[in-house]
Parts: sequence; C-alpha cells; structure tokens
Amino acid sequence: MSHRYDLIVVGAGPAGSAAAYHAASAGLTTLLVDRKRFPRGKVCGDGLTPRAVRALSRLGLGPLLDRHTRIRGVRVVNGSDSRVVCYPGGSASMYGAVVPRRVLDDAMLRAARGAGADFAEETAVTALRLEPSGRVTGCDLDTPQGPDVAEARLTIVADGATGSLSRHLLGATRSRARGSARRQQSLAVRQYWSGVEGLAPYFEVHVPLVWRGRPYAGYRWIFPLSATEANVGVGFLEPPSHAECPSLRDVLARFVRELVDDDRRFRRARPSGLLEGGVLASQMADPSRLPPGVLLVGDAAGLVHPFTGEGIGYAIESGEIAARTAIRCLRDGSRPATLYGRDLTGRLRRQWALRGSRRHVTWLVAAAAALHDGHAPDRLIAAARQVITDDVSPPCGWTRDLPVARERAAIRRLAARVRTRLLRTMRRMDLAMAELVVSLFDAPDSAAALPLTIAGALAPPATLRNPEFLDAMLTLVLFGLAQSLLVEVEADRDEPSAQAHNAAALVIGDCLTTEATTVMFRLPDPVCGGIARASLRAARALALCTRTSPPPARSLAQHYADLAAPSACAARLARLGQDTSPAGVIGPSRFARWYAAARLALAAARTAPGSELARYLERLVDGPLVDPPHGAMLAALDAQVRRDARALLAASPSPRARAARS
Amino acid sequence: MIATAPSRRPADDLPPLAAEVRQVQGFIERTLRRHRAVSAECRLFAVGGKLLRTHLVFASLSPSSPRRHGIDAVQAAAAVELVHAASLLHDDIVDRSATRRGLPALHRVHGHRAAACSGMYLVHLALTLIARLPARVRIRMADTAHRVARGQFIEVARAHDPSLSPADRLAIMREKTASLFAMACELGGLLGGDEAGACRRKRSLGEAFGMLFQLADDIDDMLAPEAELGRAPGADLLAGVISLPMAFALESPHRSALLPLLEGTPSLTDADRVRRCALLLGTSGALARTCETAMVHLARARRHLERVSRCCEAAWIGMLLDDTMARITRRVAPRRA
Repeated sequence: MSHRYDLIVVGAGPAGSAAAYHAASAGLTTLLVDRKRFPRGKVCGDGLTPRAVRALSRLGLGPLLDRHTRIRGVRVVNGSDSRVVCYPGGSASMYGAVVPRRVLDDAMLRAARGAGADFAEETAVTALRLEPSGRVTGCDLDTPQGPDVAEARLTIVADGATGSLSRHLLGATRSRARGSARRQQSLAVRQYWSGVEGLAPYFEVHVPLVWRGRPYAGYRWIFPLSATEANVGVGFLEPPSHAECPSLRDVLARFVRELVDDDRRFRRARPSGLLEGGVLASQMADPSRLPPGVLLVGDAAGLVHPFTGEGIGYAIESGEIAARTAIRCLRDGSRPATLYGRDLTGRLRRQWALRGSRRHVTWLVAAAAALHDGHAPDRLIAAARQVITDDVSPPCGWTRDLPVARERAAIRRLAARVRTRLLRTMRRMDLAMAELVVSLFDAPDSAAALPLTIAGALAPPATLRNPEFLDAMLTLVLFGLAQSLLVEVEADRDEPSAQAHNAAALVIGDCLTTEATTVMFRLPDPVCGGIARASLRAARALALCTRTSPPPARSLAQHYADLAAPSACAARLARLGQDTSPAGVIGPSRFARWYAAARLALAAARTAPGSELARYLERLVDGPLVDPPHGAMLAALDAQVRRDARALLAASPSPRARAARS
Repeated sequence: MIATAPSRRPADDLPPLAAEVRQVQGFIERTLRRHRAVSAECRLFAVGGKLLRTHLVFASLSPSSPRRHGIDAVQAAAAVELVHAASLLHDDIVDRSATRRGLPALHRVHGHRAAACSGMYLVHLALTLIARLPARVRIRMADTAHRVARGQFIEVARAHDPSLSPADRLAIMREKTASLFAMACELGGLLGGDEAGACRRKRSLGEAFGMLFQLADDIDDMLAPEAELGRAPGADLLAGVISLPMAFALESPHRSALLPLLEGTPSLTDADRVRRCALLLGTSGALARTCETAMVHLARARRHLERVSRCCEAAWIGMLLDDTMARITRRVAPRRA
C-alpha cells in the first residue's frame, strides 16, 4: 500500500524535526521517519549557542529552554589561565543553553507532531524511489509491520553524519580527489559527570589539544547541564592522519584524570554515564548537485561549523530553510535545489567560505589559545573573539540573503574605516586612552556606532570611500562617544574613586567633543549644520533625561526620536547627492530614526526593563514598516530589530507588559 | 531662591557695551528657555557671569561696522559664552568646587551627572550656533576649542608636578585661557570684516590680555580674601595646579619649604596650607616676578591696541587692561611694602 505526502523527512534529529515542524505548520502533509525509538540519546556536546537558542524559540520551545541554565558566554581555558568572552547584550536576549540531546530531540519531535506531521517510528528507509529522469519521488520503508512505500513531491534527508542515504547521495557529488567522506569528518567523545561543584554558566573550552607533544585542531569541553552536572568531552575538529591518530578515549581519559586531580570542582564528581563517541560532519555539501526532488539538511549536509564543531543551530536553521523552500516550490513549482542552495549559502555564508580550508581550524585553535594569555597580536584575539561570538549576529532576511550579505559587508567596511580614523585621531591627541575609547566604539549595542549601520546600508560604494563622508561619520561617532561617556558620570557618589571616574569621563568626553568639532567645522555648510543639529538633539535628550529638577513632560517616543537624530542624519548624509527626491532622502532618514530608536530602546530595556519602556518598544515593533524600506538591507535590519525586541519582550518578567501585549 | 543676581564688582559694569551684552544675554536665555533642556539654575548660571568674552567680542568689533547689531555677532558671542559656561560646569565637577559665581556650584544642586550633561548640552547648543557662521570663522573657533581642551588636559596631566617650569606654565596658560580671549577679539575682527592684518593684531591683543587675566586670577586665587572671591582661596593649590607664582617660587631657594605644602601633610589643614603658601610666595619674590611678567603682557597688549585703535572700542579695552593690572598690583603692592 502506498501513502502520498507533500513532504517526507528522513531522520527525526533537530534538522528533520525542524523541517517537519515548519512544513506541517504551513499546512503541508508531512511524514517524519526515524529508525530509532524515541526518546533516544545521542553523542553530542549538548551545547546550544545563542543562534541555536533563537532557532529553537522559533519552534515554540522557549519553555523547554527556560528550564535550563542560561549560558552567558564562552570561557577559554589554557592551563591555569582563563578568559571569558560573554555573548553581547546580557543574558536577557542572547544566551546559550545546554540541553541533553535525549531531551532536546524528543521535545523537537513532539513539536513537529504537534504541528501536524505524521511520525513513523522504528522505520528505516531502505531506498529512495527514483523516476527514470533521476528525480526522487519517495522512498521504500521498512516498518515494524513490514515493508511499505511512501511517495512525496519532495524528500528531505536528515539522516545525520553517518546516514547511509546522505552518504549515497553525496557519493555521487563528491569526487575522490577531495577526499573520502571519512576524512572530512570530525570525531568527538563525551561523558556525563555529576556531583561537580561550582559550575559557572559558561561553555568551558580547554585549549590547546595536545597529544604526545603535538597540538591538534580541537578542544576539550566542560558544558554545564546544571549547577552540578556537566557534559565533559573531547573533539578533534580535524582528525589527524591514521598513523599518528591518538585514541580519543585516551585523550578524554587523561583530561578527566587531570580534572579529578587538579580541578577543585571535580573533587567529588563521578561519571554518570558511559563514555561514548560520535562523528561530526563539517564538509558542507553542495546542494545544487543533488538529484532533483531531494534536499539535505543538518549533519547529513555537513553543516557543522568547522571552527566550533557546533551543529545543532545550523541543523535547525537548515531545516527551516528547507521547509520554506518546500513550501514555496510546491506552491509555484520552482526548482527547490537552486533556491535552497542559494538560501543556505546566504545564511551560512561564513562556513561555506571556509569549507575545505582546514588550515583555518588549526588557526582558530591557535587564536583561541592566544585569547587568554594577552601576548598575542590584537588581530588574532579579535579573530578568535569574533568566531566565538559570531553566532550572535542575528540571521537576516530569508530569501534576500545574498544582496544583504554584500551590504552587511559594506557596513562592516565602513565601521572599519571610521574605526581607523578614530584610532588615528586618538593617537594624534596623544592621550593614554585610545584603547578605552575604541573599546567603547567596539562594544556591541554601542549607540555611538549606530549611525554607521544605517549609513553603511544606504550609501553607494563611491560615497563609502569619500573622505568627506567618512569625516562626517567620524564626527557623529565622536559626539556619540563623548555623550555616552558623560552619561556615565556618577550622579551623587562623592568618594575618591567616583571622583576619579567622573573627572576622567569629563576630561575624555570634552576632548572627544573638541576633536569632533575640529573635524565637523571643516565640512561644508549643510553637512556641518546637519550634524550639529542632530547632535544637539541627542545632547538635549540626555540633558533632559538626567535632569534631577522636574523636567518638562516628554514621552518616550520624543526621547528616543531625539536620541536617534544622529542616525537619521547619517542616513541623509549617505543619500546626499544620490537621490534628491523627497522619497529618496526622507524615506531612509525616517526609517533610520525608527530603527535607531528601536535599537536604543531595546538596549535600554535590556539593562533596565520597565513596563513603560516595554510598551513603547511593543508599539515600535508591532507597528507597520516605516516607509517602504530602501532595499533588502533595510528590510533585514527592520526584521532583525523586530525579532530581537519580540524575543526580549517574550522573556520580559514584567506582568504588566505581558498583559498589555495580550 | 536663586533669583538674586551674582555679586559684581563695580568695575565690571561696563556701560558702553551694555545694550549689545544685554542682547546676547537675552538671546541665550530665550534659547535655553525655549529648548527647556536645562534647569532654571543652569539657565541663570549660563548668563550669570561677567560676560567678559562677550564684551571682548563687541569691544573688538569696529564701532562703525554695520554688522554690529547683526545676529551673527550676537550668536557668535553667545556661542563663546556658552562654551565658557560649559567648561566652568565641567571644571567644577573635576575640581570639586562648592561654589561658582557666588552661588552653589551646579553639581552641588543637581548632582554630577545632571551638571555634566547640562554642560554637554550647552556645548552642543554653541556648536549649532557656530555652524551657521562662515566656514573660515568656524574653523578658527574649532582650532581655539582644540587649544583650550589641550591646555586643560596638560594642566590636569601635569598637576602635582613640581618640575613644571614657569615657561611650561606660560605655555599652558597660552593654550588654556589666552587662546579663548584671542578668539573673542579676533571674532570681532572677522565678523566686522576687518582686513587680515587687523584681525591678526586683534588676536595678539586678545592673547596678551588673556595672559594678563589668567595671572590676575592666579594671584587672586592665593591672596584674595574669601569674601571677595566668593569661595575659599587656594583652589588651584589644593587641586594640584601649579600656577605661575608657584612655578616661580619653586625656582627660588624656598623650594624645599614649598614642596611639602604642595603635597599636603596630615598635620596641616587646607586653610593653613594656603596661608603658608601665600606667605612663601611673597617672601620668595615670586609675586614680584609674576608682576613683572604681567607688565610685559600689559605692554604687549597696549602696543597691539594702539595699532587697531581705530577699529575697536580702544578706550574701553584700555580701561579693562588697566583694571586687570590693578587687580594684580593691589594684591602684590601691600606685601612688597
């Protein structure tokens, strides 16, 4: 007997369940197949990066995550030294989690079934059914009740790193010159421990991974499941060649012995499970080379990050993308492989760029090791830091990722150029504070750098190189930095430490203002006037909100509109000389004001949540698009800030805000 | 409660420019009131000073210039005055001064953060005013602001440094105080459309006057009675700023006696430190040398003033110069005798 579905998903891991959930939610008839009986465990670090956490909350699994400790960042350990890299934005909206795969996979499966997907348990797929043209039309099943057949318009293969279907499919696309599938896989072993004391909420990563005096690309990890339980493991991101391959079990055994002997947290700890090993696949497959009618997701597609070994987040995202592709293709008949390939590359661009370049992995390990000893060059530390927190940059729009990636690069380049100028200015001032000021600029959620995001997204390439435009941007940034310093002045405290802090903030702030002034007054009249007026509005908002005598009544909307004035000014400057029609200038600047206001309110709500602020934020993000967005990038920025704000509001503890929302 | 006007010395009321100065005062007050960003106390503070720099802008404007009552001059003067007020606000927080212009310092009334942000707002208001001026004028003003900030920074960086020579101190004064006076005087020339030579001379005149003014302030800070000063004397000393008289005294044989006073010892109260320092300044001859330096700057200012006497309120500026010099001699003379 044969069953007809819109979509068959082979494998009920995170990628498969996510694909089934999104497809079934959109009304596709979906069959999810797995050869195991659930719940079942799986060898994994169990670590969910903020990216994975966000993807899970899109599956409605927020309550599950709430039951687990929020991981605040990564702690890189080398011997007795360690350094913590926190996820930006505080733990309110960007955090990781450690959830055992046994629990996670089961919850995701339930979500998929709850959304309407059929589930065939303990059912193996013995073969894909092919049309003479090579198109996949379904699969042969081996159910507990006997052989069966299921047909579908599209098949998503999510059978993991060792799955025979994906290996078969990829066998057709991977040439032998690029190495066998075995060599492109990473290896990991892990063991659960309980009775650990004093675990901090960080992903703990021990580097370098040395065996018999030789460093290997990989790391040892301690991921806290709770205050007393941990997942302890070792992963080789680049398996050494056969001749010298150390036994992973030996490496882990020695790591564990060291922990028990030297680490006070493990004094009374006992292993609570067997030591188990597994395989990671981080050689990204090229989806456009698969036969029609089939898509690969998750580990089956080799979507493990080649640097971090993290795969769950990417698996879930690829499942989402595959589901969306399926929905769209079944509606309008476009070619799924091309669409999926494009979306996947756009989304996972960085990993895509790194596939095959294994040297980077070793390099990351060196960088991560350098992160803690402070002697490594800045660039190396910055690179390691970026890899660790890279995950955090929220994904952008769905189908417009490719142009967005280009514009995103423009923003980054603009920020880098202004940063160079900022450093040069600081050095010229010959004050021992360049690092401090630049770190203020670099800080995530930095209000001072906000105008650059807008301008980078809007300005054409020629403008981005125009020295006058860069000077204008530098001015806005300097004013912003000075203002953020002055707001840091301690209001009432009078002890010497507060005094010293205040004096430093004032002297440095005034120097920055002055430096900005000298640059600004050399700009042409309209530019100079525009910047001056915008900065005055921001200064006025700050003066008003720090006033201790009764200030005139003002709404939050007015307050944030004033604070966003420099960003609106940046938008106008970016469009200057480009499109002088009112729609060409006013639209972007209104959008900039809305965007900057939302970002600033979001940052404020993260540090000091309040019901009034939450309501204001809600009004901002639930409102309609502000002016037709100017290109894909603005749409992406728009979507991103709305998503962040909604995540924050959803996690907001204020009952009033919740009541107001419902 | 703050409605009482700040105390003024009779010589500071300067009739010939009263109308213009009132215009500037009114402009600042109106603008601040309209924007409503700062408190009433801050508003009064901003216009509550002697408005010396405003006087200078208008005094150095040619009396026959049609721009005299134009909005340009008023706005430029207001901007200079606002920047000055903001720098006072910030200085008071850094120096922990309790009073300013005869009233409690703003940070004592509203807290440090509010005072700091009010100061910042005043600066930005000034910048929007300056942004409307012609490019060459505003570039000169930006450079001045740069010099002032630099001077202030060096002063803070070299506080408590007994190796500061008189020449170093003079350089700091030139950047920190004199450059703003020079700008005020040059502004008169630039706005009045004077030729380049006259502008340069006005600038030099302003610079010499600024040096003189700072010397008078330095001496007053150590020697004036508290009632006249409106605050406890010796603020510079206590903040570790080495004034020119102090730099001279440190070159004299009295250096060894001065050093512990600069550092401060637990056995001495602040008032005692200031009193003993003032005595040492007199006996070491530092006051006399300061007085000589002041005379040099006075002569220089007069020389420049003579050359531009036809395109400015020369008589009034001359009077102001004499007045400032008198402030110095009044303190120094009785001690010499």
